[in-house]
Amino acid sequence: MAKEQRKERKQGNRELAEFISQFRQSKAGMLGLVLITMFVLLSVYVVVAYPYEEVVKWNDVREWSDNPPTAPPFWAKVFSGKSLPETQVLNGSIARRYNVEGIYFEDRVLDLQYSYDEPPSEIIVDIGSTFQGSAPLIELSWIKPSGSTIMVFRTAAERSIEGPPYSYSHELYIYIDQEVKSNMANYLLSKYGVHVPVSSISVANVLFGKESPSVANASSIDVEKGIYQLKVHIQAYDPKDAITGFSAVVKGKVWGWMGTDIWGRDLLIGILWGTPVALLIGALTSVLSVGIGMAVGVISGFYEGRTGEVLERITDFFYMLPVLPLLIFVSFILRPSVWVMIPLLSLFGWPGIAKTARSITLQVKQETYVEAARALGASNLWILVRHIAPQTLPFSFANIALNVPGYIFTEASISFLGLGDPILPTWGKILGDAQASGATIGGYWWWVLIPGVMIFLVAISFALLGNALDRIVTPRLRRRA
Amino acid sequence: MSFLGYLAKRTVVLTATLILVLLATIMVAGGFGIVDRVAESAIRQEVNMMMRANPNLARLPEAERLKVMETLMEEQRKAIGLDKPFIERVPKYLFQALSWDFGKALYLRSASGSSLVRDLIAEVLPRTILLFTTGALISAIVGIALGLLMARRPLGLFDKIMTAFAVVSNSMPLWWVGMLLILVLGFTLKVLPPGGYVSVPAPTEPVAYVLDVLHHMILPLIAVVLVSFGGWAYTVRSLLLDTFQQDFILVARAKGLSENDVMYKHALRATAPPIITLLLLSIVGSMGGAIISEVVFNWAGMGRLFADAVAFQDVPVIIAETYVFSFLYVAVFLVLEVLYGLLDPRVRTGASVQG
Amino acid sequence: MSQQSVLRVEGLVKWFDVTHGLMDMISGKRVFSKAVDGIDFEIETGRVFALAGESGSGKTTTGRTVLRLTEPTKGKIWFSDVDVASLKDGKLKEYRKQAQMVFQDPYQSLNPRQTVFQDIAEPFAIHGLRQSNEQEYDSVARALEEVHLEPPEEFIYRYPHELSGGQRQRVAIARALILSPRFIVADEPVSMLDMSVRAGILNLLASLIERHNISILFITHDLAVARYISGNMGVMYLGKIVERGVSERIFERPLHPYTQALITAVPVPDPRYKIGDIPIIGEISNSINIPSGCRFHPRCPYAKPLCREKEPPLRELERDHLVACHFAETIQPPTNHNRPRNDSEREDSA
Repeated sequence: MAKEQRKERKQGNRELAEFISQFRQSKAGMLGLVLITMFVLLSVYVVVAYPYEEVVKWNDVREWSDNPPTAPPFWAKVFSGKSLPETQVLNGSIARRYNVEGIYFEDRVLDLQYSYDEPPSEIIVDIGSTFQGSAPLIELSWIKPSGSTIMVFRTAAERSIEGPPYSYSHELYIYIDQEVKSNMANYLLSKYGVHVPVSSISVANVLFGKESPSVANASSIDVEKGIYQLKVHIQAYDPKDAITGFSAVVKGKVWGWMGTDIWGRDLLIGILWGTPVALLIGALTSVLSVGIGMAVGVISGFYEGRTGEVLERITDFFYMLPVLPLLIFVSFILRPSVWVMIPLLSLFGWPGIAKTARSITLQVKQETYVEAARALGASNLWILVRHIAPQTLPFSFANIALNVPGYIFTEASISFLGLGDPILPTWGKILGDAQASGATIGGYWWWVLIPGVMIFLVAISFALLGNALDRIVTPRLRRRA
Repeated sequence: MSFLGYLAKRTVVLTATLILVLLATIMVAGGFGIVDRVAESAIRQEVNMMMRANPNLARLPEAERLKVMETLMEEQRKAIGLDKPFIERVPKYLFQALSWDFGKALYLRSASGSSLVRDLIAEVLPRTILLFTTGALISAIVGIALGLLMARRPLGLFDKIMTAFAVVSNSMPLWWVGMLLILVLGFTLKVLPPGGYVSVPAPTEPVAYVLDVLHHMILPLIAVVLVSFGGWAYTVRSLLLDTFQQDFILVARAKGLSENDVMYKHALRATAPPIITLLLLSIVGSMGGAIISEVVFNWAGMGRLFADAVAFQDVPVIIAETYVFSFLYVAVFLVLEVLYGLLDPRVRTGASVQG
Repeated sequence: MSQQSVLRVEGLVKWFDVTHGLMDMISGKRVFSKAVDGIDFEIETGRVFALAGESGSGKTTTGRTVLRLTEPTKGKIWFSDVDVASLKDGKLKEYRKQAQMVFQDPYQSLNPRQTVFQDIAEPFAIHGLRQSNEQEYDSVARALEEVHLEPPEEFIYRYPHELSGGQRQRVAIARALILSPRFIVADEPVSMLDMSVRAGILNLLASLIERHNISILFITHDLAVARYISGNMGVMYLGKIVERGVSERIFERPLHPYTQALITAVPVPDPRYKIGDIPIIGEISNSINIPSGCRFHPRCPYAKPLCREKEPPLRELERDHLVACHFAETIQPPTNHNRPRNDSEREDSA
């Protein structure tokens, strides 16, 4: 009758149902499960939203040259109390052309609305022009809200190899360009009569600070707030000569949701991408190592003769290997990708589970009901599958969850030293970069805190899940609370 | 079999393991040609220098010069023993390593200027032991004390808070906590040195020197203890609760012993073997994980030497360090087995599982 | 014998190798625990043969060896003209269909993770005799009815921890019977059950034997139970049978000093009778260092020098009553042995 069939299936599931209901009662376990689910969903999102090509760009420093380096996240303002500038890109200036007695002039102006408490970390100006014959003169000037005008840069365009028409383009890093610096010195000299050594001049101070004789090398300044203007002026000798491009990147001091590292890389991308990598490595390695460990442990416990002895020796051998040094050594030679790292890690991880699986098997093997099954005519295989495996399986699930944090830590250690996957960003690698770049002593807290918190969250979610599973699986006699 | 017999057997097995590990290390390094590649380039450099130093050789025509170079390099190879294929050299390397002769480092030098790898390691090993053994001991002591408190009132508020703390602290890598501590204490608050083993320049007077080292030890120790004591407390608490369920505790209580006596005289004694085991295992484990932590704290110990060797690709040091780590691991396991044999009489008689 | 014997054991020996000292291992000397040291007995169709003795006598090992749960060291085990001692693989599995076991501990002999249904139906699956779910359900239900676990629907999907000891043992019996074996070894099946439950299980066994014409090797340390359930019995001491014959006869007139002592120790629920002095000294020695000559001589109140030198053979003193003692004819049974039969007398159950 269908009723009996349904009943049997329900019976078979009764143990499962009991297990699930017990698990639901564990608040910690449920929390862990929820967190893990969130991370999995995040990983899916990340892989879709930032496809692999984006990730490869992560390693190319040139991609990030427009970003301010070591910039905290934009929300850091909340903690520091000061309003820190964000990066702005200025373009779209309008040309004003006129000519006087055969000399052709063109002006372009970029407006910068600025109300932050600190000057930007750098200003990069791109100027381009085209000309037919004689090189035009180009002058860049800076107009502050207070009205002061500072001449920043002056040059004659250089001819390109091909032409006419010749083209000229220049990318000017205002803060570090030596000529700009000496122009600043000249400005101060003419306005206040002070001689300031060029090497000690902070261009940012002069451009943004409230004017005073000592502003050039002051340790901190009051920023003039208002609208600044960057003006380029070209003096050319042919009506067709013109400015072809004029834009500026005003690099802020904060960037993005998670800040930048020393190369200006948006840490958000790195950290987000670390999620699927960490989950992948942690979960796959754990499953693999528990699988191997279970198999070896059960077989070695069941076939106690020479097979068992040999397997036990092998287990002991791997158990006693110092994991991290050997792993570092091998990684140093192989520079493993994620897919090589996973079996490598599990190679060191399986002995622990094998030992426990073996002792469980040894114990179950002695149970009377196993002997009863043998008396019924059961073969070794039957006993293994029907009586021993069900005892070890629930324990193995608990173990899979509990082992994940360890593997994530180990992989993070390897990446920290720069020996991990060469392309994919992992949290360990980011932290390793932080350490090497002196983030801890330089105070770049976001670079240290955020990737570490991610590691912590993933680790603790698996720990909670694993602990909950373990409590359900371990016989109640062994637990008091 | 008797205890001595068991011990002998285990020693043999463990020594065999050690040799196998060493062999594997050498084979892997050699098999990938690293050893040879590195040595070859070293030879080339030497020969180049020799040739440049000798003005006669510089004047020779191209073909002649190459021939002389080749001859010189062959001589050098023979001197180091590179003329034979790698397989044949393995026993020599193995024997050297086992007799603690690790040869010379390629780039790294010890503080005294020696390039002998043995000296390098001898210099750094005590520092690692100092830091991590102290850390493990402090964690254990603090953890045991707290675990006792937790076991007194299971499921009480203190127990729950400590358990939560244990889970949290176990989920943080030690080296990351170290980085955070340096940020907070070293950079922001500036109360402790952000790293290093001694100040630069180091004080010369012995007492001041020792104090300086201790001063530098504080930050790493805080990190080690913070991360470990929670786990210790929880483990001790669980062990104690398990022991409490045993009949002999019931007897002690029925006899009218005070709770203190029950706790300290009976329960704690019963949990001593697993605690000692855990202590040894944690020392061993921490040394393995010391590598990254020492880099973070800039602590000039075994771990940092290893990281430096990796960074500089100083292969002899890498091999030697891997071997020393393995040796320490195996040695501790052997001590553990001896202790277990002493503490647990069942092991002594070699009683098999068949009851 | 007028009836065909189901099981005949000839010279069965089981020695366990317990060599463990380092010196012994080096010198090559081996140390054995001689659990079963040469026994013979026979069980006829539909009859119960009890094997009685203290713990350490080798009776449990005998039972397990007969079913090949332990490999015999020597000897023959004839199961209907087939020497079971040397069967392998497929034939061994066949044997297992026909010879089953009920274990002592009902709390351990059922897999705690399997339902009653799964336990009882397991033999079907093992021997490839699976049927449709309905048919298996019916078979199991019928088996439950036979062991008086009724109504079967109540019990069929329970887990062992939801059953009492007696109920579990019934399940174990049902499991043993489901493939209609010809022979069952019952290893102290009631020793771990409450007194009140024992009678029920014993009676169940008795009725099942009758209905299915099964033979049983009934292992017990309780002579009262042996007397109750068996037609023939053997008394074991340190690996050898020291007395063998019709159970009732052995009780009426125990010939071996050991048997006499055991029977004297059986309590009688009648205040008129007190337990007399048990004429025995000390405890059973271990099966590694077996005394010379007659194994029982260190504890025997009647021991003479001959007993230390020569091992007495099992010889027939009366019809169907054998004893291994040099001086069996001369030994007087203790006086308070001849107790009047009381109301606990039962008819022969086999």
